[in-house]
Amino acid sequence: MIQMTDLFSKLSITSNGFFVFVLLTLGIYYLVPKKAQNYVLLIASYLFCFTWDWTFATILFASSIVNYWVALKLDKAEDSAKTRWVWIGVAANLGVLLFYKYFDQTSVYFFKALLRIGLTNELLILDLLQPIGISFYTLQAISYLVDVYRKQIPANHSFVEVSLYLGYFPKLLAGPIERAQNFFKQLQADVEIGNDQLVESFIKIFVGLVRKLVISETIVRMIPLGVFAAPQKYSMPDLLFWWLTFAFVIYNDFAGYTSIARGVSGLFGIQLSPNFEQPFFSTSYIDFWNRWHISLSNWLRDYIYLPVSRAMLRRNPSGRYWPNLVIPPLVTMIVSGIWHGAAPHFILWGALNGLLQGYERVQKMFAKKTSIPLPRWRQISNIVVTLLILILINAPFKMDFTQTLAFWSGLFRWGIIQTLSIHQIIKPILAIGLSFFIDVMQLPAKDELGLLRLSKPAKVFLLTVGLLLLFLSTRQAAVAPFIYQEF
Amino acid sequence: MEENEIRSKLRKFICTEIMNDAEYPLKYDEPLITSGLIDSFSLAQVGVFVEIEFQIYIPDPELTVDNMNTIDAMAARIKEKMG
Repeated sequence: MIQMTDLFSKLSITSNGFFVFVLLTLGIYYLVPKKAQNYVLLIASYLFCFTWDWTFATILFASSIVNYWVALKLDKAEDSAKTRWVWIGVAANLGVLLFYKYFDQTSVYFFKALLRIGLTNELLILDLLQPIGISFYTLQAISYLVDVYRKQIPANHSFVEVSLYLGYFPKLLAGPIERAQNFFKQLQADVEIGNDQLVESFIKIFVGLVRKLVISETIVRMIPLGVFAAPQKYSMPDLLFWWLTFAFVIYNDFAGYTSIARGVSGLFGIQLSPNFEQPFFSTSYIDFWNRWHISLSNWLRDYIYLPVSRAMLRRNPSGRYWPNLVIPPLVTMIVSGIWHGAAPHFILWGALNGLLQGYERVQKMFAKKTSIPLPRWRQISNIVVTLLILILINAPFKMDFTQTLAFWSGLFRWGIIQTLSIHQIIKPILAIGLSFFIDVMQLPAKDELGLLRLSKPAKVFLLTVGLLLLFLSTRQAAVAPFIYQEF
Repeated sequence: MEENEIRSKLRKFICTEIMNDAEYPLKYDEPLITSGLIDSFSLAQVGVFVEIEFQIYIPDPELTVDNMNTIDAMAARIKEKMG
């Protein structure tokens, strides 16, 4: 017998409790008049946050007050004072993020150094709980303040709308990272949900659940324990196979989360931004980052890459000056790495991806230009090579510094194959096949609704198979938390 | 300044400075980014060129593939900013 407190404890968007919570919220949302609907969403968002920890809701509330107030100050301030206010706002947001997300992570390195030189004899660890979604709503808050500072949008005078922008529950755990202008517009519009929108929302939720519960979870359960924790114990075929499969875990886990979040939000008439455009069909590294975690990539482009790049180009406008090509993507991706976590392996991950983008830009500068599409075989080989290189250099995304080095050196070690029996690899291979099948279906319109464009028999068949797979997967062990929720 | 003059200056800059191929027969309505001729990162160069050449500031969020995929689209935006 499920207790009510268990049902509504730490609501994850794949839990039964979450779907009951959404149904209850929807019922109230459509019963109340338009002007009360945003209050319903705000109360639901704080209840959602409370199911995780009341302190998280308190921090979110404090953040909403500060950002609401600073934006109003920015709007009214004289030009000379605006810069001071925007820095105060950005510093306040970053301060909270740095404290909760990075203090314990970085203090370990700091105090270990002090221990080594004998300046202290104990580590100071505060055991801070990282508030859910803080990395995501901090970026949204910063973009809101910067946009008001740049006079791209006026400050919003509705505290409810600003609070919802930061804490709206379908996107609270792991985005998408929305822009204030687009989000506020939707909160102010009259919500009209027709049958088409309902069907689209359910398809997004369905596809998201298949990606998370069927594909990602199936692969995760088959990955041998320790293959990434102690890669030095495995040889090349084991390491290569499981690391390639793990790339599909990360992708389907996050794309699944985003699809569910977009579907649920669509039921309330609010369209959240897409985060993925079939990234494993990218033909270059830059192309990949335009298709992977798009809302973060766009944020980084607007608030890190373009300001850095434009500042450098104003000093030396030459497009052939290599630092102009390499340094902006390098800085951007290092910031992305630090956003994911403070550990050195995330900085390495960011730097490698930034260098790869910089290399591609330099290479392109000297390549022959043509807009004639490449022959099909060249396109496919570009996709395969891009995917393989990206997967291999992304090892530090999952593994720490030592493990990454052991993994890379393991790729040159041929030994006994330990974990690749037919029984072990068949399910992951089928799951990867399903991931590709969904991507191919989504390719024409680049969204989650490819299923809707099929013929009726094909639709019915795929929905039945999908529901059956979902039913079977929910009978298995507990679902692992979403990977990006941890960031 | 006429839109044609803006287009012509943009084409010269894009071909020589970004594509590194002054002889390339770039059409005004030819997709630049979605066709792979230039990458989206190069829009920063276009932004700074427009600042210097036309004394117009295009904000960062407007330097997107949707807004700047052809010379025609760039010229229209510049003309609009010039008022």
